[in-house]
Amino acid sequence: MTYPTGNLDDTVHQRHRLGILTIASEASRVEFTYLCEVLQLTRGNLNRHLAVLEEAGLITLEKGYDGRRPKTWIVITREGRVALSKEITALEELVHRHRARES
Amino acid sequence: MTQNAANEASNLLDEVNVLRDRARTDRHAFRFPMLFFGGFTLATAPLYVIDFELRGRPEGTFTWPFREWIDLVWLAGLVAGAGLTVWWYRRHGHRAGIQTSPRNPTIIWSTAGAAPLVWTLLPLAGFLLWPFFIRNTFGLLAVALGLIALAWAERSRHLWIVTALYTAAAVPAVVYDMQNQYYRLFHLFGVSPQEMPYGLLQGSPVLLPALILLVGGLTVRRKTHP
Repeated sequence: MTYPTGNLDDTVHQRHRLGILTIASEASRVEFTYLCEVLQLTRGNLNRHLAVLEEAGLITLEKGYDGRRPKTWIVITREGRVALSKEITALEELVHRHRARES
Repeated sequence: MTQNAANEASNLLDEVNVLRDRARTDRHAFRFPMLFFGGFTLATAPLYVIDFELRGRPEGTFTWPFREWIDLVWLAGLVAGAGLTVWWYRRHGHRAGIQTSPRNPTIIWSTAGAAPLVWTLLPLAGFLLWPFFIRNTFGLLAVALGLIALAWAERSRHLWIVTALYTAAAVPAVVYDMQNQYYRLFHLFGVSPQEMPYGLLQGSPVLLPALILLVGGLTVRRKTHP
């Protein structure tokens, strides 16, 4: 029997990356500026987190234009959804175990 | 150590829930399809009155060459609604920065709208499904099916409630002559069979579903963030 922390994935467990995946999982695609605003991240910081997630195959980036303005859209992949689901399950299990031990 | 991990996990889960609610609120854009299909449903009411008048005309005078012309109007409205919904969701996505895919509801609206025009080609299905198509009100059910897919995609309690009410009002209007209930209602208020506005009441079955969608669309709250 493994302890729930063993199921936490370092790529997903990081607070901001978890936030990116959570938001992306709620939509068909989400725009870069929206993530900056909601997660209160600088463009540079967000870019770094996106690069980690993209390298892990959890998101894909779509470049496009809105009129003449360039836009970057983030789309969560199937692997991203699975990883997020596993992470949430592991976190919930951790909390439940702690509460069960306390009571 | 364990307590710290549990506290951190609990905080992360709280943050995830806040972010999920915020994203869901920001991407909701179902006000437009509700108002469009509510308005369109209402606009079909006079068509049933016209159809009733035309069918009552004696042989030799003008009638529509195609009996299912109302179904064609429904199909046109459903396809237009599907196209406009795609445009609306893209526009909202560009403005809000977060986008929901309306693909499933738009496919359903477009294909289900054509069902009344093709059901007669399928002998067994035609025999089994005739109660759904005989009154030329199947468009109501096509709208309802698309709304169910939209509510699934949007995960909105408001949209689920309106969709449930709309479907509950649409199904009897598709499989039953709702005019009979309106005749009874008018009769209760003292209208005699001779005075009964039979022609006008032909459009009555679509009124309640239309009203539900319009009120549902108008009562969508604009969300604000703390």
